Amino acid sequence: MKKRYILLISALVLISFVLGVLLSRIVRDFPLITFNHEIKIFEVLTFILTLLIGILFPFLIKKWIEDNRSIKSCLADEIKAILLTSLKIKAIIEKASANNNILATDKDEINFIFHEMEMQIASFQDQIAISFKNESQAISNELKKKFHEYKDYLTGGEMMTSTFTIDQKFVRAHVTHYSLFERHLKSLTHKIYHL
Amino acid sequence: MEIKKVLVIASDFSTTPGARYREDGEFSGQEFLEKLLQPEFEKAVNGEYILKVDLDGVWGYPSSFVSGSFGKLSLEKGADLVLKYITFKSDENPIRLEKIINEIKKPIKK
Repeated sequence: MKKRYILLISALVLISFVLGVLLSRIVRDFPLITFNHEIKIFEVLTFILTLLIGILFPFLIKKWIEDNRSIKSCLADEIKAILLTSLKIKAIIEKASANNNILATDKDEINFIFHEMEMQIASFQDQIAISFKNESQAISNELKKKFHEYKDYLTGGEMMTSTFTIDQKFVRAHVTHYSLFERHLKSLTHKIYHL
Repeated sequence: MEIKKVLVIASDFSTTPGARYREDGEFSGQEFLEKLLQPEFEKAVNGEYILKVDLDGVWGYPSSFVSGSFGKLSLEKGADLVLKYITFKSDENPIRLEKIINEIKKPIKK
C-alpha cells in the first residue's frame, strides 16, 4: 500500500515536471517567469530536500508519531486496568467495614484479586519492555515495589488471621495505604505519556 | 543434580493458602513448612537432588504465608542452600515467582 502511494506521487511529480517543460516550450512568454538554464548544486539539494520532507512527513514521521501515541495509550490502558482491579479490594474492605465483619471468603477474594493484579503487572512489564527497553526496568521495578508495599500491608499482617476483627482504625490505615498505591498508578499514567 | 520430586502446592496442600502461623487459621505458612516444605527439602538435601515447587493453580499467595514458609526456611537453612536444592515453577504468574525468590534471598524476621 505504502509502495503504491510512493509510486503514485513519484509519477505525479514526473508528469508535472514534463508538463511544465512542455508548457514552457509552447508558451514562451509567461509573465514574470523565466527559465534559468544554470542550476546551482545547493538549489538541486534544496529541491530534493523539499521533496523528501513533502513525502517523508506525511508517510513516515506522521505514522511514527501516531504509532508512538497509540503505544503509550495502550500502556496507560494497562495501568488503568490495574487501578480498576485494585478498586475491587477497596470495595470488599468498605463492605466488610459496613457489616463490621470480614469473612474468610472475603480474604480469599482479596488474595485472588492480588493474583489478578500480579498477572496484569506482568503483562504491563512485557509490553513496556517491547517499546521502551531503556526505561522499562526502572518503571516496572518501581511499580512492583509499590504493589508489594500495598499487598504486604494487607496480606502480610493481622487481616489474614482468623481472629481478626475489622475496625475503623484498620479501615483508615487501609485507605492511606491504598491511596499511596493509587497515587503511584496515576502518576505512572502521566509518566508514560512523557516517555 | 536432577529433579526427583515435584511438590504441587495446589494439589498437595491448598488452593487458598492462609496466614503465617497455625493459630492464625487453616492452611498457614507454618503448616505448609512443617508438613511439606521442610521434610521434602531435607530429603532433597540428603538425597542430593532438586525439589521442584509448582506454584500454579493457587488463587493467590498471601504475603504472610510466603514469609511464614519460604522466608522461615531461608532464615533457618540459609538462602544459598534453599536455592541450591529448590527450584520453582510458575507459568501463570512470573511476579509471584519473583516475590518468593526475593523472600528467600532477603527473608524478613517476624
